[in-house]
Amino acid sequence: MRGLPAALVLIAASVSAASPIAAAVEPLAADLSNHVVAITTGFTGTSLVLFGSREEPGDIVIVVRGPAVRMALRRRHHVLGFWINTESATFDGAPAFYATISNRPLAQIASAPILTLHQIGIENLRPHVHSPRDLRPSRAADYRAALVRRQQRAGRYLDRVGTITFIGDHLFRTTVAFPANVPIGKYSVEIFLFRDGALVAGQTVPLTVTEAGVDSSVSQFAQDEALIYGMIAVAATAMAGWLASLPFRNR
Amino acid sequence: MDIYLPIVGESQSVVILLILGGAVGFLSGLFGVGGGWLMTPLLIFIGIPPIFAVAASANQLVGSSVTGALAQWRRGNIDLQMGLVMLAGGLVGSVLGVWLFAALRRVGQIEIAINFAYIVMLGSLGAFMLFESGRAILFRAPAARRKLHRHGWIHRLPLKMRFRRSKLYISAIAPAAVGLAGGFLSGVLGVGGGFLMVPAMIYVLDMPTALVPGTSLFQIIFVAASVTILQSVENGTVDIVLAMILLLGGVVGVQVGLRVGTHLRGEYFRALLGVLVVAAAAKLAADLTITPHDLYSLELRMP
Repeated sequence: MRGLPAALVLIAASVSAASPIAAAVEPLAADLSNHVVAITTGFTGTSLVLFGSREEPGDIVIVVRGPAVRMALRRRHHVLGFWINTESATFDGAPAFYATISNRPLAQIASAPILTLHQIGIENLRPHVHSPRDLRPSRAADYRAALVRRQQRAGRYLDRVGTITFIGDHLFRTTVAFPANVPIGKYSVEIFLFRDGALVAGQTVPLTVTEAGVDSSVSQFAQDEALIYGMIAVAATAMAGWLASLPFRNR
Repeated sequence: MDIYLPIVGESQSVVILLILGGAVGFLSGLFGVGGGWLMTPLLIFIGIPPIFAVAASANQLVGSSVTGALAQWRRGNIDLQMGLVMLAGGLVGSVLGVWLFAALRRVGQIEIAINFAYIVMLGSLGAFMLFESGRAILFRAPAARRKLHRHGWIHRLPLKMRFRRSKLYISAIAPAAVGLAGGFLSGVLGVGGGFLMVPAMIYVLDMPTALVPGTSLFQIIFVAASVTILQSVENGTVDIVLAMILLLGGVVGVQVGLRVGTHLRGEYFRALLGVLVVAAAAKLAADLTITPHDLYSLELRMP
């Protein structure tokens, strides 16, 4: 981390000295310290550094959006004394992971229609009903609220306020945290610059969350060659069981 | 220290998994029970989703039953012929079990079905253990002597076969049916089915008691192998890393359990185990009957 301020100074120098014209043209420039999050055997979550510069003062909002997945929600009902899943609905278009980082509460930065338009903020996510087709709007709203609630509880949906550090008038820096259960897939990190409630500039940085090393090969192989994988799993445990019996052969 | 389980897709503490495998192995060694029926609920308690718990439990059972069956084989305690007939039923049962598992999963009821099955299974097993050990402690009653030979409905079934090792002349349908029931449970719940097959082999098939554990272990090796492969193909839920860690803990636990078992009075430990098993059933029952914090649950499906 000690190298970071130096790097920022370097960027600052290059922005202000080397390309004054480019800086004037580009109201917003930002990048991540890494474009790949690799999930390896010891993975317990990670965070990336996001740094950037803005030409003029204004509010910064960062939106980290995971891959859109299908989500199945089930609702329990009390049946004969037991809580049993009796209702369900599936939704499309909700991101598996979603986080916003902003320098002050989103409601103070821009009006609701603008935030809704750009799907900024958890309450502005609008997953659509996949099934059942005839789901009542009021029930769909309940399901959507539950979807957000469950994702928040799992640490996969979060709005964070006030965690952006400004250095001078132009530079800003923040950390983007990913929990241990971060879903794999293609992510996008959007950086927005707002001034007086209006969107001035935006930039998108791609990010990939992927399994790496042995684990990626294991899960990939288990998916592609399920039969052979199953046989290997049996052979490995059978072999281990046989080895375990060797020291006690003479008893 | 955490390790990432590639199929489950989550990190878990290696120490907890080793302790868990070791504890189940210890109980297996101490009581001569299979322990698969304890592995799945314990995995669920530490937060492994039931669908992965069942598959990992079946996979590690392959290893632990190989160890157990080899020990029995060296003492000549396996009726191979009987084991093979039971296995024929067991393989069919495992296919049916995994098929039911996949069907329940599709309609979103698998977790509740597994919970229900374990409440019934652990509740009745625990109650039986408490009853049996309580009687032994209070009355020191010797086990009732069995009649040497019985003739019931089991002897009226067709397809009679001579099982020389077990000194039985019975219908092949009976052991196959016992194997089928065990295999079915194995497919749905990841258990070996020994707790069901062992009493059935003693009281229904009338096998010599000394041959029962070895023969059932022999059959469980292949049924658990079949369940592992079927779960992998049908549901993709077999986590080899999880299974190997559990097995590693279990290997040590079994040996400790075997040694401790030779020094201790069994009925007190059976009573204690009975209490633990009933408590586990009660915990699972509470999970289903107490009003949940959130009525909704969410499942992410990668496209």
